[in-house]
This record gives sequence, structure tokens and C-alpha cells, in this order.
Amino acid sequence: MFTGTFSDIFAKRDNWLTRVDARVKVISALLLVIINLWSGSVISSIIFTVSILCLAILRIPVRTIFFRLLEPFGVAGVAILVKIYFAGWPGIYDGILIASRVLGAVSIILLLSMTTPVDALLKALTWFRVPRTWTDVALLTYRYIFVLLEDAYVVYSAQRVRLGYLGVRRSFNSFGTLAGAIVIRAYDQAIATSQAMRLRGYVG
Amino acid sequence: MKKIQLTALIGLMFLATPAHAMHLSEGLLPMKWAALWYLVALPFVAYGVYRVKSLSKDDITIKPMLGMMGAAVFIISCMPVPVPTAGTCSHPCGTGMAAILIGPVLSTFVASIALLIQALFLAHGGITTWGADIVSMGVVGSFSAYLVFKGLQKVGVGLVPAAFAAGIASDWATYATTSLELASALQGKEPFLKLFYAILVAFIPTQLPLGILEGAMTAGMVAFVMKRRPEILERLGVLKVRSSEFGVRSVVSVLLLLAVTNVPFKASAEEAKWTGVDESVVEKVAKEHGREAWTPFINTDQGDLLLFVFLIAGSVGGFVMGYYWRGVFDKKILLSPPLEGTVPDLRTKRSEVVELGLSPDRG
Repeated sequence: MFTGTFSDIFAKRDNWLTRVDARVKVISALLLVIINLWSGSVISSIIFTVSILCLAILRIPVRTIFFRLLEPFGVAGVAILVKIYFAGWPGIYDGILIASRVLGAVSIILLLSMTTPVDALLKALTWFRVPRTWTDVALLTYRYIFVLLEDAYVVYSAQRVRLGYLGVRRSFNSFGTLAGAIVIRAYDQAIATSQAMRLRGYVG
Repeated sequence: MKKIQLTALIGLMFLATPAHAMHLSEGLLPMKWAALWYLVALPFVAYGVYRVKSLSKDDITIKPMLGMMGAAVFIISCMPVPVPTAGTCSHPCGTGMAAILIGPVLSTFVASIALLIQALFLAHGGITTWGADIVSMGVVGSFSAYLVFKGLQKVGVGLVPAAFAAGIASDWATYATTSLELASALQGKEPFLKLFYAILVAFIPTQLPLGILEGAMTAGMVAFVMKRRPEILERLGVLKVRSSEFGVRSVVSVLLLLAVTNVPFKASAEEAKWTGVDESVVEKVAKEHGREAWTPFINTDQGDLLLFVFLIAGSVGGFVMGYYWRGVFDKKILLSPPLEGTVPDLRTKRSEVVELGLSPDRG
């Protein structure tokens, strides 16, 4: 699955960017994203280059950066092609503008997520008056993604060993079963977690 | 020119899957569109927060349960699913499933969380496009699935086929909304509807089979849970039969939804050379008798007037929907299992905790 690209080990490292307060990082990331939306392709490209350089200085593996940027590159390609489809070759300039904005913004968010752990990020959000209810559930979601992911991988492997995902019809069945298994495990985990939370004094 | 267009279109079809049609990438939307989608999404998320807050007063299981559902939606919507027609992988949206299990309001709430985490840590979607993604995947995906599911169940369709239809409905409705948002993002001098149709067509080879797969997955999920742990479905209120008043309303809502989703197809018929009865018969006869058609007083073909009128209609419709919200969508959720032996009852209320001598502020 996507365990390789989805991980927070880099955010937990100690370097000059992870030491900056999360609130500062959130605000500056938002500002940069907005500036990026207003600006032309030159500034967006500069933002993109600087962000990627920062990631390189922080020694984030190239493979991780590449996989994270794969989808935005696809979207940038779609933007350019749509513009070419409608306006012919002159449309490529509009397309490149949109593409550079996409890459610029994505690289900023990538830098933010690679240097800020989720708990710090959500704590910063509560400081900005985001409702507690929302951040509570977000934190639980984030924590249990990893747990459920492991469960899902166990079920998936078991299915593969028992000849699941062979042929279209069986694949459909296997995917349905996998989704069902994830839901059941999520439900059981929720009950277990709320019991554990209550026993430790959680009252909502 | 034709050659360039054709090459671009073929290229688009190949890029459609890696670009993950469901999420709009960061930075894609111009500022005004991003703000507009935020405005549309905000009331739904705010209502979700309000709902979770009031539910968690009585039932402290609700937050862990929603967290778990969020994680499940996240994982399901990140599963790489091979799409045979495009030769690569794409992913389902998963919000349809969540809507069936926990209702559309909470599902939108959960989707808003899953989308933010995806935007931050997988570069699927983004911060500026968060509003737009909540609208397409959260709001439209959840509500279409829920309405189709409940409507079909009311008509007497079984649980599994209804889930299948709901999965397809949520996927395709999400995809249509995303195309609309993408068209708004990429619009320059081109006519809006033309751009919308071009994007819609470009993504058909990926999204059509993906929608069917999402349907099959939703149906498989419901069937599996039904077989192994039917009590989960009972507790989440999926198996309960609602009152007849609700049924009538949901059928009406489904019909309304169909009417709304039909509008683009009507528009496309008008654009083609096949003129309708009005033009080919009524207008012709009237002209023969000396009554020529004049331009309407409110000509909706001018500029974006039609879009504006749709926006107004949407706002009014939204207000009416919101006014009767409780009657249509509210749903009781009983999450905790019954008391067994030493297992503590999870549905302890705050007042009881206070009686036990624990301060409610702790923890």
C-alpha cells in the first residue's frame, strides 16, 4: 500500500525547521499559499524551487518527495492539456501558469507536513479557534489510520494468499470484503478505545 | 488545430487516472473560486461540528467512533484500485460508505478531517481547495449516497442492491461535481459549459468503471458486515426502518436530485442540432401565423446569468432543505454495546460521572 510515502518520521526529526513554533509555520504556509495564488508563474516557480531545496537540505529522501509530487504533476499536466485543447498552442502559457501555481502550493504544504507533527499542527489549529470537537476527532483519526492500515494490510495479505483479487469478478468481491473487514475492525477498535479512554478518566 | 486538440484530448485521458480525478490539487483554484467553495462547504462542516458536540454530551463513544470512521474512510479512499480501461490505478472515494453507516451530516464532518490529512500528508487535494473537495466528496458524495440508499430501501429494494446503487451514485455525483469545480478552475475565455463537458468526457474512461467498482465495494462491505456482524448495522441504524413520513420525503428528495442532475443533459441536448418541440413545431407554426418570437425580457443566455440564477435557486433550495433538515436527515445513533458482565456501560452521562465523584473537567 502507501506506507512508504505516508509516514511522519521526518516531522519528528530534530532540525531548524521542526524547532520553529507550529503556529508560525501554519501562518507562513497559509500566507505563502495565498501569495502563490495571486502571483505569476515566476514567483510560483521560485517558491517551488526554494521549498524543494529546503526539503533536500533537511535530507528528505528523493523517493518520498517524488511519490508525494506524482499526483500534483498529473494535475499540472491536465491543466496544460485542457488549455491546449481549447486555445491551441498559445494556451500553453495559461496552462503553465496554472501548473506552476499547483506545484508551488503543493511544495509549501509538503514542506509544512514534513516539518510539523500532526499533534503540534492540531494544537496550533485550536489556538486559531478551530473547534475542539473537530481537532479531537482529527487527532483520533490520524492516530488510528496507522492501526487500521496494519489491520487492512493483514486482511489484504490473507486474501492474496487465498487467491483473492484474481480476475475482475473475484477482485470486486475481495475489495468489498476488505472494506467490510476494515469497517468491522474500526467499530471494534472504537469501542475498545472509548472503554480505555473512559477507564483513564475521559468524560467527553 | 484539430490535430493539436485530438492529441491534447488523448493525453488528458491518459493523465486522468494519475491525476486522481476526485481531489482538486493545491493551487488549482483561483482565489475567488476557492473562497466560494469554502463558503459552500462551511455550513455543512459547522453543522457537523454542532451535531457531534451535542451527541457527545450524551454518548462519549461518539468521538472515538467518528475518528475510527474517518480512518476507515481515509484508508478506503487511498486503496489503489486497478482500472482496466485506463491501465493504471485510481482510488474510490469512500464517503458513500460512511454516509450509509453514520448518516450524511457526520460523514461530511468525517470527510473534512480525512481530506485535510490527505492534503497535508499525501498531497491529495490541498488547503486552498479544501472547501471544493469537501463539497464534492463530502457533501455531494455523502448526501447522494444517503438519499439513494434510503430512497431505494423505502421503495423495497434490498440492503445490498441499495448499497450498490448508493456507491455508484456517490462516486458519479462526486466526479460530476469535481469536473464542475475543475472547469471553474481552468476557465479562461472558453465557454464554461463547453469546458465542463470536455472535462466530463475526458474522465469518463476512468470514472465510469471506478463508479461501478465503488458500488460493488459498498455492496460487498454491507454484505460482509451483514453476514459477520449484523448487530453493527443495527446499532448504527442502517437496518432500522424509518417512519413513512421520512420515506415520502426521501423519495421526493431523490426525485429532486434526479431533476437537478438532469439539467446538464438537457442543456447538452439543446446544444446539439436536435432542436426540441418548442423550436421545431410551436415556434414554426407561430411564425407562420405572424407571431414571431421576441427575445425574452430576462435573457439567461447573456454572460453568466444562467449560472447566477442557478446559484440563487441553489441558495433558496438550500435554505428550504436546511429548514426541514431534522425531518429528513436526522438519525439516532446508538453506538455502545449492551452492558455485559464487568464491561462498563459506555453511555454514561455526564451527570452520573459527577455523582460518582469524578470532576467532568478532568481528562
